[in-house]
Amino acid sequence: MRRAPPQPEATQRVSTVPPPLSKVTPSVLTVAPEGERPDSPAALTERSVRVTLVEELRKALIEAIELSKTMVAEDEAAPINEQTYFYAVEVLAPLIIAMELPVPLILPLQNGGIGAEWHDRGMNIELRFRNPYHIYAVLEDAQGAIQPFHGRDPFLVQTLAALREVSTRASERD
Amino acid sequence: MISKGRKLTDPNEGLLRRAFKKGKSSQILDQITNRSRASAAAFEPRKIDEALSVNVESPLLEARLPLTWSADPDRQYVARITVGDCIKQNLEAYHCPDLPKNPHHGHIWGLVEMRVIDEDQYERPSTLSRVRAQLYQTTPNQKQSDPGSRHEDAYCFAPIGKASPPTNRASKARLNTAAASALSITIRSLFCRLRPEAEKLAAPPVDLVALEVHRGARLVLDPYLDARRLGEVIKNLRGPRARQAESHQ
Repeated sequence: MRRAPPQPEATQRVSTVPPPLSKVTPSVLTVAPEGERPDSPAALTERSVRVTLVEELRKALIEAIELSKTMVAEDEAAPINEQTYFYAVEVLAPLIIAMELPVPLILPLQNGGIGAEWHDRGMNIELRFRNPYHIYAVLEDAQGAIQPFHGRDPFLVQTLAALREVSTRASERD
Repeated sequence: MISKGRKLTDPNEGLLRRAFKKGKSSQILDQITNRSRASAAAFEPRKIDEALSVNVESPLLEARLPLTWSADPDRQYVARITVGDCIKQNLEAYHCPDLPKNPHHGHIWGLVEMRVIDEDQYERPSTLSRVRAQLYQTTPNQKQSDPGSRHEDAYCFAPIGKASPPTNRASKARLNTAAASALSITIRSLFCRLRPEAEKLAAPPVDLVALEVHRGARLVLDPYLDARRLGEVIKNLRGPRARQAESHQ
């Protein structure tokens, strides 16, 4: 089974109003390559938010590995499946960073898979990565903007709509 | 086949399932019911299990033990569902003491069969993973000295990022350089955590910039691609026409 070809990218809207500078801004200064100057405070902020997201995501992923190790040591779960784990990282990381989503709760599943859950902004979004391409999604929206969905979503077609909705609601309230 | 033990029929009988905490946020606030509940992972039987292990409430209370008995307060919490919840899902609960270790032990039968017969049915929210379980946690200070103590833990979600207007940006191509390189480093460190011997490798296991180049060249990477082989030209990634041309040669 092969990955779907990349979707044509929609025109990216650019905010004309710079978002408020956040406390995470300084972190970019330690990560941005030398000589690469941000064009504007907005660009700087967006970049820093993304780098911070990577860091938060890294922590969540490491915690998931550590929890998996604990569960395996106590014979409570099968070891995490590397292929599934990195497939999940490959799928989730660009989405989280590009859409600037909150970092999900990432939990090892007992049979070696990995789960990612967002429960925020009126949305329940649960993704269970059983194997690469075997992704079961549970999508629920208290506001009814997104139709409930419980089923396999190997290319995250349904999930993307729900994640965009989370991103929209986050930006509206911030 | 293990002995099933005594079938539980009282729908109000409590069944207590231990689940591992992950930071403060293993318990989730369900956005539909606005109540804390356990994550889906809490009610997963292992592959080797024939049934889901629980503790049965009434023998625990008879022995004047807390509902959180046998849970490690530093690392675990307890989710309580009822026999009635199981019956609604066509599952059966049994009290089957595991003597002498655990006289309060029980099993929920049916989940494993469901997983074997129909994986998707097993995943559906009608299964136990979506029952609105009550959550109990012994705080580290309490330990287990306070029988019957119940504490519904407050749920705390990670702070949300400062988002710019949402757009269809679900592509690595839109990651800026700093984020992409940070992510590459992240993936490398994760790989090393999973497989410590990989630290000896000079190259990062997955290089997102390389991935992007591959993608730009319209090569499709397989998830089973061994990350250590990045950089090699793998024949079967060349597509059917190229393979056809090769075979003609």
